[in-house]
Amino acid sequence: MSDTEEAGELSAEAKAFLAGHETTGEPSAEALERGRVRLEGAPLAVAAALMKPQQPRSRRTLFPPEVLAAAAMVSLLLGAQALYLAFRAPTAPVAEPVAEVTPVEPKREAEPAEVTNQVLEEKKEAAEAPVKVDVELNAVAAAWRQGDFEGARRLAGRLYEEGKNERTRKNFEAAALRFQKCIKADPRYHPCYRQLGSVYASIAMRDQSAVAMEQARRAYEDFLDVAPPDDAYYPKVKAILELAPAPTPIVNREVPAVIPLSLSVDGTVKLPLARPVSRLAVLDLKVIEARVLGTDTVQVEGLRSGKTTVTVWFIDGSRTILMVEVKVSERRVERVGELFADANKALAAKDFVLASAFSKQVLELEPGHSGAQNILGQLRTQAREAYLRGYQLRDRDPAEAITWFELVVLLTPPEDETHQKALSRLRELRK
Amino acid sequence: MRPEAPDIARLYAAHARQVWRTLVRLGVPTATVEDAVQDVFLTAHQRLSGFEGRSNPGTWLVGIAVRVAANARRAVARRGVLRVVDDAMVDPGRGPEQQLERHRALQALEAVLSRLPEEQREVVVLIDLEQLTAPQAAEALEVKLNTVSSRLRLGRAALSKALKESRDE
Repeated sequence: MSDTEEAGELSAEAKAFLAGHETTGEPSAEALERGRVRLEGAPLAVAAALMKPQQPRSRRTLFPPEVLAAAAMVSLLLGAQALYLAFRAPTAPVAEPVAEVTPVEPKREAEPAEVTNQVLEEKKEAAEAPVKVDVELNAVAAAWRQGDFEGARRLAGRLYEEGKNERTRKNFEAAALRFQKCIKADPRYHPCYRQLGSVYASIAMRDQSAVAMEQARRAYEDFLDVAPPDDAYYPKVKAILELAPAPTPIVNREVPAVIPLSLSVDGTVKLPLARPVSRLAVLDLKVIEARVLGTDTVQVEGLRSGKTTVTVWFIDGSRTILMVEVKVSERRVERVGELFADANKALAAKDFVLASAFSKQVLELEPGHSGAQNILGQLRTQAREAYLRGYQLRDRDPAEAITWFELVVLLTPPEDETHQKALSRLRELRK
Repeated sequence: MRPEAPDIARLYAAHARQVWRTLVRLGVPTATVEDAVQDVFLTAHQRLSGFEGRSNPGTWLVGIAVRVAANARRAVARRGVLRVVDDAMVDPGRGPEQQLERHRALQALEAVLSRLPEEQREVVVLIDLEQLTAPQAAEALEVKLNTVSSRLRLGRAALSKALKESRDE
Protein backbone atom coordinates (compact mmCIF):
# COMPACT_ATOMS: atom_id res chain seq x y z
CA MET A 1 0.00 0.00 0.00
CA SER A 2 1.42 3.38 -0.93
CA ASP A 3 1.80 6.27 1.46
CA THR A 4 -0.94 8.23 -0.24
CA GLU A 5 -3.33 5.31 -0.06
CA GLU A 6 -2.65 5.00 3.65
CA ALA A 7 -3.81 8.58 4.01
CA GLY A 8 -7.32 7.61 2.92
CA GLU A 9 -8.99 7.66 -0.47
CA LEU A 10 -10.41 10.77 -2.02
CA SER A 11 -14.18 10.83 -2.11
CA ALA A 12 -15.76 10.35 -5.53
CA GLU A 13 -16.91 13.95 -5.52
CA ALA A 14 -13.43 15.23 -4.65
CA LYS A 15 -11.88 13.02 -7.36
CA ALA A 16 -14.27 14.38 -9.96
CA PHE A 17 -13.69 17.93 -8.79
CA LEU A 18 -9.90 17.63 -8.98
CA ALA A 19 -10.09 15.86 -12.33
CA GLY A 20 -12.12 18.78 -13.63
CA HIS A 21 -9.35 21.16 -12.60
CA GLU A 22 -6.40 19.34 -14.11
CA THR A 23 -5.56 22.29 -16.33
CA THR A 24 -6.86 25.10 -14.14
CA GLY A 25 -4.13 27.62 -13.46
CA GLU A 26 -2.09 26.80 -16.56
CA PRO A 27 -0.13 29.79 -17.85
CA SER A 28 -0.37 30.92 -21.44
CA ALA A 29 2.59 30.42 -23.76
CA GLU A 30 3.01 34.21 -23.97
CA ALA A 31 3.24 34.52 -20.20
CA LEU A 32 5.87 31.78 -20.02
CA GLU A 33 7.87 33.45 -22.76
CA ARG A 34 7.64 36.80 -20.99
CA GLY A 35 8.89 35.16 -17.80
CA ARG A 36 11.81 33.67 -19.70
CA VAL A 37 12.75 37.07 -21.12
CA ARG A 38 12.48 38.64 -17.69
CA LEU A 39 14.66 35.96 -16.20
CA GLU A 40 17.31 36.67 -18.79
CA GLY A 41 17.47 40.19 -17.42
CA ALA A 42 17.59 38.84 -13.87
CA PRO A 43 20.81 40.62 -12.82
CA LEU A 44 19.21 44.03 -13.37
CA ALA A 45 16.08 42.85 -11.60
CA VAL A 46 18.20 41.88 -8.62
CA ALA A 47 19.86 45.31 -8.75
CA ALA A 48 16.44 46.92 -8.67
CA ALA A 49 15.53 44.79 -5.66
CA LEU A 50 18.73 45.91 -3.94
CA MET A 51 17.69 49.50 -4.54
CA LYS A 52 14.45 49.07 -2.63
CA PRO A 53 14.69 51.13 0.57
CA GLN A 54 14.47 49.05 3.72
CA GLN A 55 12.91 51.77 5.83
CA PRO A 56 9.20 52.50 5.97
CA ARG A 57 7.75 54.57 3.14
CA SER A 58 6.73 57.46 5.37
CA ARG A 59 10.30 58.05 6.53
CA ARG A 60 11.58 58.43 2.99
CA THR A 61 9.94 61.82 2.77
CA LEU A 62 12.65 63.10 5.11
CA PHE A 63 14.81 63.55 2.02
CA PRO A 64 14.05 65.71 -0.98
CA PRO A 65 13.25 63.79 -4.19
CA GLU A 66 16.45 65.03 -5.86
CA VAL A 67 18.58 63.47 -3.12
CA LEU A 68 16.63 60.22 -3.32
CA ALA A 69 16.93 60.13 -7.10
CA ALA A 70 20.69 60.68 -6.91
CA ALA A 71 21.04 58.01 -4.23
CA ALA A 72 18.97 55.59 -6.31
CA MET A 73 21.16 56.24 -9.35
CA VAL A 74 24.35 55.62 -7.34
CA SER A 75 22.83 52.43 -5.88
CA LEU A 76 21.84 51.24 -9.33
CA LEU A 77 25.31 51.85 -10.73
CA LEU A 78 27.01 50.24 -7.73
CA GLY A 79 24.52 47.37 -7.82
CA ALA A 80 25.01 46.81 -11.53
CA GLN A 81 28.79 46.90 -11.17
CA ALA A 82 28.74 44.60 -8.13
CA LEU A 83 26.51 42.17 -9.95
CA TYR A 84 28.65 42.30 -13.03
CA LEU A 85 31.72 41.46 -10.94
CA ALA A 86 29.83 38.83 -8.95
CA PHE A 87 28.69 37.07 -12.06
CA ARG A 88 32.10 37.22 -13.69
CA ALA A 89 33.86 35.72 -10.68
CA PRO A 90 33.40 32.01 -10.00
CA THR A 91 31.45 31.48 -6.79
CA ALA A 92 32.98 28.10 -6.02
CA PRO A 93 36.64 27.05 -5.64
CA VAL A 94 38.47 26.28 -8.87
CA ALA A 95 38.96 22.70 -7.70
CA GLU A 96 35.23 22.12 -8.04
CA PRO A 97 34.29 23.64 -11.37
CA VAL A 98 31.05 21.67 -11.56
CA ALA A 99 29.68 23.55 -8.58
CA GLU A 100 30.18 26.87 -10.28
CA VAL A 101 27.03 28.97 -10.54
CA THR A 102 25.78 29.39 -14.05
CA PRO A 103 24.32 32.86 -13.91
CA VAL A 104 21.74 34.20 -16.30
CA GLU A 105 23.68 36.96 -17.95
CA PRO A 106 22.55 39.68 -20.31
CA LYS A 107 22.71 38.65 -23.95
CA ARG A 108 25.83 40.74 -24.56
CA GLU A 109 28.40 40.95 -21.83
CA ALA A 110 29.01 44.65 -21.19
CA GLU A 111 31.94 46.23 -19.41
CA PRO A 112 31.05 48.06 -16.18
CA ALA A 113 31.62 51.44 -17.80
CA GLU A 114 29.33 50.39 -20.64
CA VAL A 115 26.67 49.34 -18.16
CA THR A 116 26.94 52.76 -16.52
CA ASN A 117 26.72 54.57 -19.86
CA GLN A 118 23.82 52.42 -20.94
CA VAL A 119 21.90 53.19 -17.75
CA LEU A 120 22.65 56.91 -18.07
CA GLU A 121 21.58 56.87 -21.72
CA GLU A 122 18.32 55.17 -20.81
CA LYS A 123 17.66 57.71 -18.07
CA LYS A 124 18.41 60.57 -20.47
CA GLU A 125 16.04 59.18 -23.08
CA ALA A 126 13.36 58.67 -20.44
CA ALA A 127 13.76 62.28 -19.31
CA GLU A 128 13.57 63.68 -22.85
CA ALA A 129 10.66 61.53 -24.03
CA PRO A 130 7.89 63.25 -22.02
CA VAL A 131 8.91 66.67 -23.34
CA LYS A 132 8.58 65.47 -26.95
CA VAL A 133 5.27 63.82 -26.17
CA ASP A 134 3.94 66.93 -24.43
CA VAL A 135 4.67 69.01 -27.55
CA GLU A 136 2.84 66.43 -29.64
CA LEU A 137 0.00 66.33 -27.18
CA ASN A 138 -0.54 70.06 -27.45
CA ALA A 139 -0.57 69.79 -31.24
CA VAL A 140 -2.98 66.87 -31.12
CA ALA A 141 -5.25 68.73 -28.70
CA ALA A 142 -5.35 71.68 -31.08
CA ALA A 143 -6.14 69.36 -34.01
CA TRP A 144 -8.81 67.58 -31.94
CA ARG A 145 -10.57 70.91 -31.38
CA GLN A 146 -10.70 71.31 -35.14
CA GLY A 147 -12.19 67.85 -35.59
CA ASP A 148 -9.02 65.94 -36.57
CA PHE A 149 -9.26 62.73 -34.55
CA GLU A 150 -6.87 60.65 -36.66
CA GLY A 151 -3.70 62.32 -35.28
CA ALA A 152 -4.96 61.78 -31.74
CA ARG A 153 -5.62 58.09 -32.36
CA ARG A 154 -2.17 57.63 -33.95
CA LEU A 155 -0.43 59.26 -30.96
CA ALA A 156 -2.58 57.27 -28.51
CA GLY A 157 -1.68 54.04 -30.35
CA ARG A 158 1.99 54.85 -30.15
CA LEU A 159 1.82 55.75 -26.46
CA TYR A 160 -0.12 52.55 -25.84
CA GLU A 161 2.66 50.45 -27.38
CA GLU A 162 5.34 52.37 -25.47
CA GLY A 163 3.41 51.93 -22.26
CA LYS A 164 3.05 48.21 -22.88
CA ASN A 165 6.79 47.89 -23.41
CA GLU A 166 7.49 49.75 -20.18
CA ARG A 167 5.01 47.54 -18.38
CA THR A 168 6.67 44.38 -19.72
CA ARG A 169 9.95 45.71 -18.39
CA LYS A 170 8.22 46.32 -15.04
CA ASN A 171 8.79 50.08 -15.28
CA PHE A 172 5.35 50.65 -13.90
CA GLU A 173 5.65 54.38 -13.21
CA ALA A 174 6.90 55.05 -16.75
CA ALA A 175 4.15 52.82 -18.13
CA ALA A 176 1.49 54.66 -16.10
CA LEU A 177 2.75 57.98 -17.47
CA ARG A 178 2.46 56.70 -21.06
CA PHE A 179 -1.07 55.43 -20.53
CA GLN A 180 -2.14 58.67 -18.83
CA LYS A 181 -0.86 60.64 -21.81
CA CYS A 182 -2.50 58.12 -24.14
CA ILE A 183 -5.85 58.88 -22.45
CA LYS A 184 -5.12 62.59 -22.68
CA ALA A 185 -4.35 62.28 -26.38
CA ASP A 186 -7.46 60.29 -27.18
CA PRO A 187 -9.95 59.91 -24.32
CA ARG A 188 -11.93 57.42 -26.41
CA TYR A 189 -9.05 54.97 -26.81
CA HIS A 190 -10.26 52.42 -24.23
CA PRO A 191 -7.26 49.97 -24.16
CA CYS A 192 -5.23 52.62 -22.35
CA TYR A 193 -7.71 52.74 -19.46
CA ARG A 194 -7.41 48.97 -19.04
CA GLN A 195 -3.63 49.04 -19.19
CA LEU A 196 -3.54 51.95 -16.75
CA GLY A 197 -5.70 49.96 -14.34
CA SER A 198 -3.39 46.95 -14.65
CA VAL A 199 -0.29 49.06 -14.08
CA TYR A 200 -1.80 50.67 -10.97
CA ALA A 201 -2.84 47.24 -9.71
CA SER A 202 0.76 46.05 -10.17
CA ILE A 203 2.05 49.11 -8.30
CA ALA A 204 -0.50 48.45 -5.57
CA MET A 205 0.77 44.89 -5.19
CA ARG A 206 4.41 45.90 -5.31
CA ASP A 207 4.12 48.76 -2.80
CA GLN A 208 1.13 47.47 -0.83
CA SER A 209 -0.41 50.82 -1.70
CA ALA A 210 -4.09 51.45 -1.05
CA VAL A 211 -3.87 54.67 -3.09
CA ALA A 212 -2.62 52.82 -6.18
CA MET A 213 -5.33 50.22 -5.69
CA GLU A 214 -7.97 52.94 -5.68
CA GLN A 215 -6.42 54.42 -8.83
CA ALA A 216 -6.57 50.97 -10.44
CA ARG A 217 -10.21 50.65 -9.51
CA ARG A 218 -11.01 54.05 -11.04
CA ALA A 219 -9.13 53.25 -14.26
CA TYR A 220 -10.97 49.94 -14.61
CA GLU A 221 -14.29 51.70 -14.01
CA ASP A 222 -13.39 54.27 -16.68
CA PHE A 223 -12.55 51.40 -19.03
CA LEU A 224 -16.06 49.98 -18.58
CA ASP A 225 -17.52 53.42 -19.32
CA VAL A 226 -15.53 53.88 -22.52
CA ALA A 227 -15.03 50.37 -23.94
CA PRO A 228 -17.69 48.72 -26.08
CA PRO A 229 -19.34 45.77 -24.30
CA ASP A 230 -18.10 43.36 -26.97
CA ASP A 231 -14.47 44.16 -26.17
CA ALA A 232 -12.58 40.94 -25.33
CA TYR A 233 -11.53 42.31 -21.96
CA TYR A 234 -14.87 43.85 -20.99
CA PRO A 235 -16.30 40.82 -19.10
CA LYS A 236 -13.00 40.17 -17.37
CA VAL A 237 -12.64 43.73 -16.08
CA LYS A 238 -16.28 43.71 -15.03
CA ALA A 239 -15.81 40.43 -13.15
CA ILE A 240 -12.68 41.75 -11.48
CA LEU A 241 -14.40 44.88 -10.24
CA GLU A 242 -17.31 42.84 -8.96
CA LEU A 243 -15.10 40.34 -7.19
CA ALA A 244 -12.35 42.64 -5.93
CA PRO A 245 -12.35 42.54 -2.17
CA ALA A 246 -12.52 45.87 -0.41
CA PRO A 247 -9.16 46.83 1.05
CA THR A 248 -8.89 45.93 4.71
CA PRO A 249 -9.45 49.08 6.72
CA ILE A 250 -6.38 49.72 8.78
CA VAL A 251 -6.30 52.40 11.41
CA ASN A 252 -3.00 54.15 11.10
CA ARG A 253 -2.54 54.69 14.77
CA GLU A 254 0.88 53.79 16.00
CA VAL A 255 0.95 51.01 18.56
CA PRO A 256 4.08 50.99 20.71
CA ALA A 257 6.42 48.09 20.05
CA VAL A 258 6.40 47.09 23.74
CA ILE A 259 3.53 47.70 26.15
CA PRO A 260 4.04 47.09 29.87
CA LEU A 261 1.00 45.64 31.61
CA SER A 262 0.43 44.92 35.26
CA LEU A 263 -2.50 43.12 36.82
CA SER A 264 -3.38 41.07 39.86
CA VAL A 265 -4.08 37.38 40.16
CA ASP A 266 -7.65 36.78 38.94
CA GLY A 267 -7.70 40.34 37.65
CA THR A 268 -8.64 41.06 34.02
CA VAL A 269 -7.39 43.78 31.73
CA LYS A 270 -8.93 44.68 28.36
CA LEU A 271 -6.46 46.41 26.10
CA PRO A 272 -7.88 48.13 22.97
CA LEU A 273 -5.14 48.26 20.34
CA ALA A 274 -7.03 50.19 17.61
CA ARG A 275 -5.75 47.86 14.91
CA PRO A 276 -7.16 44.48 13.82
CA VAL A 277 -5.33 41.63 15.53
CA SER A 278 -4.55 38.49 13.54
CA ARG A 279 -3.17 36.26 16.31
CA LEU A 280 -1.35 36.25 19.61
CA ALA A 281 1.07 34.02 21.49
CA VAL A 282 1.56 33.73 25.25
CA LEU A 283 4.97 32.74 26.56
CA ASP A 284 3.87 31.28 29.91
CA LEU A 285 0.32 29.97 29.99
CA LYS A 286 0.52 29.32 33.74
CA VAL A 287 0.78 33.03 34.47
CA ILE A 288 -1.95 34.47 32.26
CA GLU A 289 -4.70 33.63 29.84
CA ALA A 290 -5.07 35.94 26.85
CA ARG A 291 -7.68 36.14 24.13
CA VAL A 292 -8.83 38.51 21.39
CA LEU A 293 -12.16 40.24 21.96
CA GLY A 294 -13.82 41.43 18.77
CA THR A 295 -11.09 42.34 16.32
CA ASP A 296 -8.79 44.78 18.05
CA THR A 297 -8.98 44.24 21.82
CA VAL A 298 -6.81 41.84 23.78
CA GLN A 299 -8.06 40.56 27.13
CA VAL A 300 -5.49 39.35 29.63
CA GLU A 301 -6.44 37.46 32.80
CA GLY A 302 -3.94 36.88 35.59
CA LEU A 303 -3.73 33.28 36.77
CA ARG A 304 -0.79 33.34 39.13
CA SER A 305 1.97 35.71 40.13
CA GLY A 306 4.83 35.95 37.67
CA LYS A 307 6.04 37.64 34.52
CA THR A 308 5.42 36.70 30.91
CA THR A 309 5.01 38.20 27.45
CA VAL A 310 2.22 38.21 24.90
CA THR A 311 3.18 38.73 21.26
CA VAL A 312 0.35 40.30 19.28
CA TRP A 313 0.41 40.19 15.47
CA PHE A 314 -1.77 42.61 13.53
CA ILE A 315 -3.27 41.87 10.16
CA ASP A 316 -1.02 44.45 8.52
CA GLY A 317 1.94 42.24 9.48
CA SER A 318 3.25 44.43 12.32
CA ARG A 319 3.40 43.21 15.90
CA THR A 320 3.68 44.41 19.43
CA ILE A 321 4.76 42.76 22.66
CA LEU A 322 2.91 43.01 25.95
CA MET A 323 5.24 42.68 28.91
CA VAL A 324 2.86 41.34 31.55
CA GLU A 325 3.49 41.16 35.26
CA VAL A 326 0.91 39.47 37.41
CA LYS A 327 1.06 40.47 41.04
CA VAL A 328 -0.83 39.30 44.08
CA SER A 329 -3.10 42.10 45.37
CA GLU A 330 -2.38 43.65 48.80
CA ARG A 331 -5.57 42.28 50.30
CA ARG A 332 -4.72 38.88 48.96
CA VAL A 333 -1.18 39.14 50.33
CA GLU A 334 -2.60 39.90 53.77
CA ARG A 335 -5.03 36.98 53.60
CA VAL A 336 -2.31 34.58 52.44
CA GLY A 337 -0.11 35.73 55.35
CA GLU A 338 -2.88 35.10 57.87
CA LEU A 339 -3.69 31.66 56.52
CA PHE A 340 -0.05 30.64 56.37
CA ALA A 341 0.47 31.73 59.99
CA ASP A 342 -2.57 29.63 60.99
CA ALA A 343 -1.18 26.66 59.09
CA ASN A 344 2.13 26.95 60.93
CA LYS A 345 0.39 27.23 64.29
CA ALA A 346 -1.69 24.13 63.59
CA LEU A 347 1.43 22.24 62.51
CA ALA A 348 3.23 23.26 65.71
CA ALA A 349 0.20 22.04 67.70
CA LYS A 350 0.35 18.76 65.71
CA ASP A 351 -3.14 19.46 64.42
CA PHE A 352 -2.26 18.05 61.04
CA VAL A 353 -5.78 18.20 59.65
CA LEU A 354 -6.06 21.93 60.28
CA ALA A 355 -2.53 22.56 59.04
CA SER A 356 -3.42 20.78 55.80
CA ALA A 357 -6.65 22.75 55.37
CA PHE A 358 -4.95 26.12 55.91
CA SER A 359 -2.08 25.24 53.58
CA LYS A 360 -4.51 24.25 50.83
CA GLN A 361 -6.31 27.60 51.19
CA VAL A 362 -2.97 29.39 50.89
CA LEU A 363 -2.21 27.55 47.67
CA GLU A 364 -5.63 28.36 46.26
CA LEU A 365 -4.87 32.04 46.66
CA GLU A 366 -1.24 31.82 45.63
CA PRO A 367 -0.50 28.62 43.71
CA GLY A 368 3.28 28.84 43.94
CA HIS A 369 3.47 29.55 47.71
CA SER A 370 6.55 27.62 48.79
CA GLY A 371 5.81 27.70 52.54
CA ALA A 372 2.39 26.08 52.06
CA GLN A 373 3.86 23.53 49.68
CA ASN A 374 6.47 22.70 52.29
CA ILE A 375 3.85 22.12 54.99
CA LEU A 376 1.85 19.86 52.70
CA GLY A 377 5.06 17.96 51.91
CA GLN A 378 5.65 17.40 55.60
CA LEU A 379 2.05 16.33 56.01
CA ARG A 380 2.40 13.80 53.20
CA THR A 381 5.32 12.29 55.07
CA GLN A 382 3.20 12.22 58.22
CA ALA A 383 0.38 10.61 56.27
CA ARG A 384 2.65 7.83 54.97
CA GLU A 385 3.81 7.13 58.52
CA ALA A 386 0.20 7.13 59.73
CA TYR A 387 -0.71 4.70 57.00
CA LEU A 388 2.08 2.31 58.07
CA ARG A 389 0.89 2.52 61.68
CA GLY A 390 -2.66 1.66 60.63
CA TYR A 391 -1.40 -1.15 58.41
CA GLN A 392 0.56 -2.70 61.28
CA LEU A 393 -2.47 -2.50 63.58
CA ARG A 394 -5.11 -3.68 61.09
CA ASP A 395 -5.29 -7.28 62.47
CA ARG A 396 -4.34 -6.69 66.07
CA ASP A 397 -6.48 -3.59 66.73
CA PRO A 398 -8.81 -2.77 63.87
CA ALA A 399 -10.47 0.14 65.69
CA GLU A 400 -7.13 1.85 66.24
CA ALA A 401 -6.12 1.12 62.63
CA ILE A 402 -9.32 2.82 61.41
CA THR A 403 -8.36 5.97 63.35
CA TRP A 404 -4.96 6.06 61.63
CA PHE A 405 -6.39 5.45 58.18
CA GLU A 406 -8.98 8.20 58.75
CA LEU A 407 -6.15 10.54 59.63
CA VAL A 408 -4.44 9.64 56.36
CA VAL A 409 -7.60 10.48 54.43
CA LEU A 410 -7.83 13.87 56.14
CA LEU A 411 -4.17 14.73 55.57
CA THR A 412 -3.95 13.85 51.90
CA PRO A 413 -5.75 15.07 48.80
CA PRO A 414 -8.10 12.58 47.09
CA GLU A 415 -5.76 12.04 44.14
CA ASP A 416 -2.88 11.01 46.42
CA GLU A 417 -1.95 7.32 46.28
CA THR A 418 -1.76 6.99 50.07
CA HIS A 419 -5.23 8.56 50.31
CA GLN A 420 -6.63 5.93 47.94
CA LYS A 421 -4.94 3.07 49.77
CA ALA A 422 -6.22 4.33 53.14
CA LEU A 423 -9.78 4.49 51.79
CA SER A 424 -9.45 0.93 50.55
CA ARG A 425 -8.25 -0.28 53.95
CA LEU A 426 -11.10 1.56 55.68
CA ARG A 427 -13.66 -0.18 53.45
CA GLU A 428 -12.15 -3.58 54.31
CA LEU A 429 -12.06 -2.91 58.04
CA ARG A 430 -15.63 -1.56 58.18
CA LYS A 431 -17.15 -4.63 56.55
CA MET B 1 32.32 14.55 -7.54
CA ARG B 2 29.02 16.37 -7.58
CA PRO B 3 26.78 16.18 -10.61
CA GLU B 4 26.66 19.24 -12.80
CA ALA B 5 24.30 21.90 -11.45
CA PRO B 6 21.44 22.55 -13.87
CA ASP B 7 21.40 25.85 -15.69
CA ILE B 8 18.58 28.18 -14.62
CA ALA B 9 17.35 28.67 -18.19
CA ARG B 10 17.02 24.92 -18.62
CA LEU B 11 15.24 24.66 -15.28
CA TYR B 12 12.83 27.38 -16.39
CA ALA B 13 12.14 25.68 -19.70
CA ALA B 14 11.46 22.36 -17.99
CA HIS B 15 9.58 23.42 -14.87
CA ALA B 16 8.12 26.94 -15.28
CA ARG B 17 4.71 25.57 -16.20
CA GLN B 18 4.54 23.37 -13.09
CA VAL B 19 5.84 26.14 -10.83
CA TRP B 20 3.26 28.57 -12.24
CA ARG B 21 0.42 26.09 -11.79
CA THR B 22 1.52 25.22 -8.26
CA LEU B 23 1.66 28.88 -7.25
CA VAL B 24 -1.83 29.55 -8.61
CA ARG B 25 -3.22 26.45 -6.90
CA LEU B 26 -1.61 27.46 -3.63
CA GLY B 27 -3.58 30.71 -3.72
CA VAL B 28 -1.17 33.21 -5.26
CA PRO B 29 -3.38 35.84 -6.95
CA THR B 30 -3.10 35.93 -10.74
CA ALA B 31 -2.06 39.57 -10.42
CA THR B 32 1.17 38.53 -8.75
CA VAL B 33 1.77 35.03 -10.02
CA GLU B 34 4.17 36.19 -12.71
CA ASP B 35 6.28 37.97 -10.13
CA ALA B 36 6.05 34.95 -7.84
CA VAL B 37 7.36 32.69 -10.64
CA GLN B 38 10.27 35.08 -11.04
CA ASP B 39 10.87 34.96 -7.28
CA VAL B 40 11.00 31.18 -7.39
CA PHE B 41 13.57 31.09 -10.18
CA LEU B 42 15.63 33.96 -8.76
CA THR B 43 15.72 32.13 -5.42
CA ALA B 44 16.70 28.96 -7.25
CA HIS B 45 19.37 30.94 -9.06
CA GLN B 46 20.79 32.17 -5.76
CA ARG B 47 20.77 28.67 -4.27
CA LEU B 48 21.95 26.86 -7.34
CA SER B 49 25.46 26.41 -5.98
CA GLY B 50 24.01 24.59 -2.97
CA PHE B 51 21.84 22.30 -5.08
CA GLU B 52 23.61 18.97 -4.98
CA GLY B 53 21.43 17.16 -7.44
CA ARG B 54 20.37 14.56 -4.89
CA SER B 55 16.74 15.48 -5.36
CA ASN B 56 14.66 16.00 -8.44
CA PRO B 57 15.03 19.63 -9.63
CA GLY B 58 11.27 19.82 -10.10
CA THR B 59 10.66 18.81 -6.47
CA TRP B 60 13.29 21.30 -5.36
CA LEU B 61 11.60 24.12 -7.30
CA VAL B 62 8.14 23.15 -6.03
CA GLY B 63 9.56 23.36 -2.50
CA ILE B 64 10.71 26.91 -3.18
CA ALA B 65 7.33 27.69 -4.78
CA VAL B 66 5.51 26.53 -1.63
CA ARG B 67 7.45 29.04 0.46
CA VAL B 68 7.06 31.85 -2.09
CA ALA B 69 3.31 31.15 -2.20
CA ALA B 70 3.07 31.32 1.59
CA ASN B 71 4.73 34.74 1.54
CA ALA B 72 2.45 35.93 -1.25
CA ARG B 73 -0.64 34.77 0.63
CA ARG B 74 0.48 36.61 3.73
CA ALA B 75 0.98 39.78 1.67
CA VAL B 76 -2.52 39.47 0.27
CA ALA B 77 -3.97 38.80 3.71
CA ARG B 78 -2.52 42.07 4.88
CA ARG B 79 -4.32 43.99 2.14
CA GLY B 80 -6.95 43.24 -0.44
CA VAL B 81 -5.79 42.89 -3.99
CA LEU B 82 -7.28 44.31 -7.15
CA ARG B 83 -6.33 41.91 -9.86
CA VAL B 84 -4.34 42.92 -12.90
CA VAL B 85 -6.01 42.36 -16.23
CA ASP B 86 -3.04 40.59 -17.57
CA ASP B 87 -2.52 39.58 -21.14
CA ALA B 88 -0.95 36.42 -19.71
CA MET B 89 -4.33 35.30 -18.45
CA VAL B 90 -6.17 36.08 -21.64
CA ASP B 91 -5.87 33.56 -24.37
CA PRO B 92 -6.17 35.50 -27.62
CA GLY B 93 -7.55 32.40 -29.35
CA ARG B 94 -10.62 32.31 -27.17
CA GLY B 95 -13.70 34.44 -27.02
CA PRO B 96 -14.75 36.51 -24.01
CA GLU B 97 -17.15 33.85 -22.77
CA GLN B 98 -14.52 31.15 -22.81
CA GLN B 99 -12.09 33.47 -21.07
CA LEU B 100 -14.63 34.19 -18.40
CA GLU B 101 -15.31 30.47 -18.06
CA ARG B 102 -11.62 29.85 -17.51
CA HIS B 103 -11.52 32.63 -14.96
CA ARG B 104 -14.51 31.13 -13.18
CA ALA B 105 -12.89 27.69 -13.11
CA LEU B 106 -9.96 29.23 -11.30
CA GLN B 107 -12.31 30.93 -8.89
CA ALA B 108 -14.19 27.69 -8.24
CA LEU B 109 -10.95 25.88 -7.46
CA GLU B 110 -9.77 28.68 -5.21
CA ALA B 111 -13.14 28.84 -3.44
CA VAL B 112 -12.80 25.21 -2.39
CA LEU B 113 -9.05 25.07 -1.71
CA SER B 114 -9.12 28.29 0.32
CA ARG B 115 -11.31 26.51 2.88
CA LEU B 116 -8.51 24.07 3.66
CA PRO B 117 -5.96 24.89 6.35
CA GLU B 118 -2.75 26.08 4.73
CA GLU B 119 -0.63 23.01 5.51
CA GLN B 120 -3.31 20.59 4.34
CA ARG B 121 -3.89 22.60 1.18
CA GLU B 122 -0.19 22.38 0.33
CA VAL B 123 -0.18 18.59 0.62
CA VAL B 124 -3.43 18.15 -1.33
CA VAL B 125 -2.18 20.42 -4.12
CA LEU B 126 1.20 18.72 -4.38
CA ILE B 127 -0.07 15.14 -4.24
CA ASP B 128 -3.62 15.17 -5.60
CA LEU B 129 -3.25 17.94 -8.19
CA GLU B 130 0.45 18.07 -9.06
CA GLN B 131 0.78 14.29 -8.75
CA LEU B 132 3.92 14.32 -6.59
CA THR B 133 4.57 11.19 -4.59
CA ALA B 134 4.37 11.42 -0.79
CA PRO B 135 8.20 11.23 -0.38
CA GLN B 136 8.59 14.00 -2.97
CA ALA B 137 6.00 16.14 -1.17
CA ALA B 138 7.79 15.50 2.13
CA GLU B 139 11.04 16.65 0.54
CA ALA B 140 9.46 19.76 -0.99
CA LEU B 141 7.76 20.73 2.26
CA GLU B 142 10.76 19.73 4.38
CA VAL B 143 8.64 17.61 6.71
CA LYS B 144 8.60 13.92 7.65
CA LEU B 145 6.76 11.40 5.53
CA ASN B 146 4.38 10.63 8.40
CA THR B 147 3.50 14.30 8.61
CA VAL B 148 2.66 14.34 4.92
CA SER B 149 0.43 11.26 5.33
CA SER B 150 -1.32 12.81 8.27
CA ARG B 151 -1.85 16.17 6.53
CA LEU B 152 -3.03 14.40 3.40
CA ARG B 153 -5.59 12.37 5.34
CA LEU B 154 -6.93 15.49 7.05
CA GLY B 155 -6.68 17.52 3.85
CA ARG B 156 -8.70 15.03 1.83
CA ALA B 157 -11.38 14.95 4.51
CA ALA B 158 -11.38 18.76 4.59
CA LEU B 159 -11.63 18.85 0.79
CA SER B 160 -14.74 16.65 0.83
CA LYS B 161 -16.24 18.83 3.54
CA ALA B 162 -15.36 22.01 1.64
CA LEU B 163 -16.99 20.65 -1.51
CA LYS B 164 -20.13 19.80 0.42
CA GLU B 165 -20.26 23.25 2.00
CA SER B 166 -19.61 24.85 -1.36
CA ARG B 167 -22.46 22.86 -2.90
CA ASP B 168 -24.85 23.71 -0.05
CA GLU B 169 -24.22 27.45 -0.33
